[in-house]
Amino acid sequence: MVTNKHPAIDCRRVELDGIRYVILRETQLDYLCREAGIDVPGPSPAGSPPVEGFDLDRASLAERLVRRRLAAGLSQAELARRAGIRPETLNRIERGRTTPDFATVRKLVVAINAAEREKLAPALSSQTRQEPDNDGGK
Amino acid sequence: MTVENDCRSRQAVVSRDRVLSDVKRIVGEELGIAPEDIEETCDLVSDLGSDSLTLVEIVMQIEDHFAITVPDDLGEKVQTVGDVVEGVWQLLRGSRDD
Repeated sequence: MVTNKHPAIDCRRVELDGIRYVILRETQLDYLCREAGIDVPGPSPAGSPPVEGFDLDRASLAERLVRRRLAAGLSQAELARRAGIRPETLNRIERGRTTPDFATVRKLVVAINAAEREKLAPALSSQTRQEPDNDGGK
Repeated sequence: MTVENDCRSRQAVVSRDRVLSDVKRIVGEELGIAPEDIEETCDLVSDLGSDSLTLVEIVMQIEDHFAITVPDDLGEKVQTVGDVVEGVWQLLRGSRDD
């Protein structure tokens, strides 16, 4: 048994263009580097991506969007249709190729939420609603 | 309309401190952070680890909670917790003054 004195590392794994990346908090990267005795990579200037051509927010959004779309049982084409955006646009967003604006993300979230409610509807119609949301994530 | 009256009376009693504490609670719940660790100056993305999907979800929760509609151009500009609080506060005051 190993005593667990280290803080939990909360990270996300994503794949973009065939390359796998791990997204973790900067403070956790700093911690890991310190523990491992390696030089801590210098801080990235605020507002710019840490690696050229790679945007953490874009990657995180892409990965979570795909996960939520699949959980709602929607194909990419179906979600695009419901959200009223072009399928090519959604495809680019999900591949982390473009950063959607607030209005577009909102359309996607609204469409996914509606699809999730539809999925739950048959189960809820037979009984009174108890737990409104017990969606994913530990 | 009764709904409108209801909202107005509710908005009239909401103080800025109350907006701040409710926003901290909602942001904290969405991001899994204790509300007491959240400051107005915290940047939602770089300090609190949000992404644009979570940001939209936070704004939608806030809309439900305060019975307001946050325009997309305002949502686009939001960066810090303070920006959210200020936006909500202005929207509540604006709709009350109408």
